[in-house]
Amino acid sequence: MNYRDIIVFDFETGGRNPYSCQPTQIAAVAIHARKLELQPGGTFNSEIRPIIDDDKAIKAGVDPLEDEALKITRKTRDELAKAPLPKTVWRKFAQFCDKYNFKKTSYYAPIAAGYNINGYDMPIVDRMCQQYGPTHAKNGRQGIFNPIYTIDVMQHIYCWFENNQDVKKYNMDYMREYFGMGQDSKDNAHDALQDVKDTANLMIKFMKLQRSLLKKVKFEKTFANGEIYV
Amino acid sequence: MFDINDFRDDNVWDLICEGRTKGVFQLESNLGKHWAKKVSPRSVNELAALISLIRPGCLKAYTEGKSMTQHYADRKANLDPVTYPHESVEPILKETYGVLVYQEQSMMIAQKLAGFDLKEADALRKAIGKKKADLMEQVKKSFLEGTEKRGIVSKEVAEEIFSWIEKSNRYAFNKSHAVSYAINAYWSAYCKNYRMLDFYTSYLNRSDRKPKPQIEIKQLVMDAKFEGIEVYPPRLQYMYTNFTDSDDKIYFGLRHIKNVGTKECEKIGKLIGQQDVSGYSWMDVLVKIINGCKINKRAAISLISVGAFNGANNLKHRQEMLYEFDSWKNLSAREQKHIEENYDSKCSLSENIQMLIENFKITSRRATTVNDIKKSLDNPFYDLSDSVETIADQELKFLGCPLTCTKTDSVSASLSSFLCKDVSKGTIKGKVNLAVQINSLREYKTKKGKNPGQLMAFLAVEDSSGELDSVTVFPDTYREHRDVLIEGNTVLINGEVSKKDKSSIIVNKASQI
Repeated sequence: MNYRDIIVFDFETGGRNPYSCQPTQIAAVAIHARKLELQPGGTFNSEIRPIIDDDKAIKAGVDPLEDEALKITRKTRDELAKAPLPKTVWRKFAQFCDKYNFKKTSYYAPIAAGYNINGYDMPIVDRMCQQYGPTHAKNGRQGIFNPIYTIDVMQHIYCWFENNQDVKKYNMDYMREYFGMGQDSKDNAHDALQDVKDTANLMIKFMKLQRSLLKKVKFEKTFANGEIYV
Repeated sequence: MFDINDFRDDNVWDLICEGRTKGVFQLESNLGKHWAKKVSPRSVNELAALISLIRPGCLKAYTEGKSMTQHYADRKANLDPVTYPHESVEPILKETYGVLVYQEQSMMIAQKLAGFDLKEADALRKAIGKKKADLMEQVKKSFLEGTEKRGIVSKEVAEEIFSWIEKSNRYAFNKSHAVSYAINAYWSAYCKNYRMLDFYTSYLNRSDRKPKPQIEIKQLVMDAKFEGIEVYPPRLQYMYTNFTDSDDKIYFGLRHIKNVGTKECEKIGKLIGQQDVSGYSWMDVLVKIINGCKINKRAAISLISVGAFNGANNLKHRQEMLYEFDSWKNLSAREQKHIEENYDSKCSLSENIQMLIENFKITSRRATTVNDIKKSLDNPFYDLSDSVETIADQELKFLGCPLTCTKTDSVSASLSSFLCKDVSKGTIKGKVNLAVQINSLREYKTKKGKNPGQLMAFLAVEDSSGELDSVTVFPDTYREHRDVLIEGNTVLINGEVSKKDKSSIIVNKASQI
């Protein structure tokens, strides 16, 4: 039984490598664990100032901004130069997430959710936490989200559609098209806030479906009769 | 003037019989409340019996399918006939309706039937209590010989009575002990009834001596609410180290807020002694209280989260204060000191930071950070208004219970037909709708019924009016609505008032709100 709220989040970045790219935007929405609804005031959104100068970026051990990445996210270097510093944004993001940790322990910390977060966004979260905190006292890993559970909506969708010929790809743009999301969603694709809203909608859709199915399917002792697959 | 040996106050006995016994000596647990209602004592002797009967031994000692406690309650309520193993023991057991409650009763039986002197009777008590087989064999022999000599009862009856006495070792209690407990219980109930405000204030102040202080605070606050006494969270104009009563209200003591230590309370107390903080603005709080009194970060977050720094001139949302406090902590000590010396209390933190930027020499590197902090204050990254849920959650975490509002406040008026308090008082009957938060859930496996072994649940729920701790969910309903019946969840309960116990509810349906 899930007692923890879910925070669907997304980074826009200036590169492709999650271990060295520079985040340029972070957005998140907080979802009530039981109601599967947006929490009151549960939206976070901010651009993040990257190191604009390529040499300085390399010196700082991060990838320089890639023009292609900026084009996709529709951001310019001039605009990003005016954005808040990563430390400022990250502290506030941590504070935002902490609002939904009702017992203020890592066990009750909100669950991280997003699209392809296991492969892409969580490594960035780890990096940001290493740099600006908070980290888990025992293992030094990120200290914002629940240390055990994550909900990667892409993995989830893959499990649903892996045997379906209709779904050709699993990227977010394809999903927007496949699920018939509105024009606003398509127009603002790759804006972190729009992406998290779309991801949250997909996640809630599947979670509601699963909740209703769970009432009808009996999993308990399902292999007790000895009929196993492998 | 009251007489310390006068135990005839009907109002006090009513309080006990209605189970309003939170804080009453020996009867403050749920078990105590439950059996106080069932047994309904109206004298010190009955109260002493009740206190003896709610000890684990009595509750677990089953005869004829019932615990000794249940036997006593049923016989007292005329639901069962009062029986005795022999008419000769009737005078001894009459006051406890034929139930052997006290060790003294065993001793008196032995004196009467077997002619034991006081020394022998005490040996019997010891043999029973200490379970010494050889001594027991010896005492049994003396008992049977004595009964034969006296000839009041036959050998068979004497053996039956002895085995009965022998079994009583599991639960029988010392009467002198029980009576002294009962007198204390009566007087604590008296204080609760006639000096309610003082009663709750002193009990709340002693909550930190309990193993789980926050749970104790919650129970006392709920109970006080039920009795019509409100406990208010601390505010700038009501900053007290301990729980303090004023104008028929109780104000939460700073010392009892989670993460707030004695040192912080002393520092704040000293400041309050020197100046009136009630008219402080948020900037005053930040500079004079948090920074001036060197309140540590965890304590400051707790105090902000429960609204302790809100007052006539500080109506800021708690989320906004937390956000600004984090920004304040991001300033260097030199920058904080400059603001402390030159701040304008009517201006916002952002405006004061602007003055810092204009009037204070800061390095270009720091300037970037300080400008950044200011920008984040001018354009917050998320909504900083307080919601009912966050206020209730934060107060639950730091105070032990929500005082300003409960999670169900926004929905209860439109969905509920009654409040928890209405049900607890036992004044309503029939169908009810309650919008509540589930405080605790205990699962049980059924032992009787069509399909024994099924899961059912007992809930304690709460709304703005107080707590209702007797909500029953039978197996079929529990199976169907188990997904929403979770501790901490807010639900709409459709049910009916139990016909057996008018202050409890049987749930028919539960839905998420």
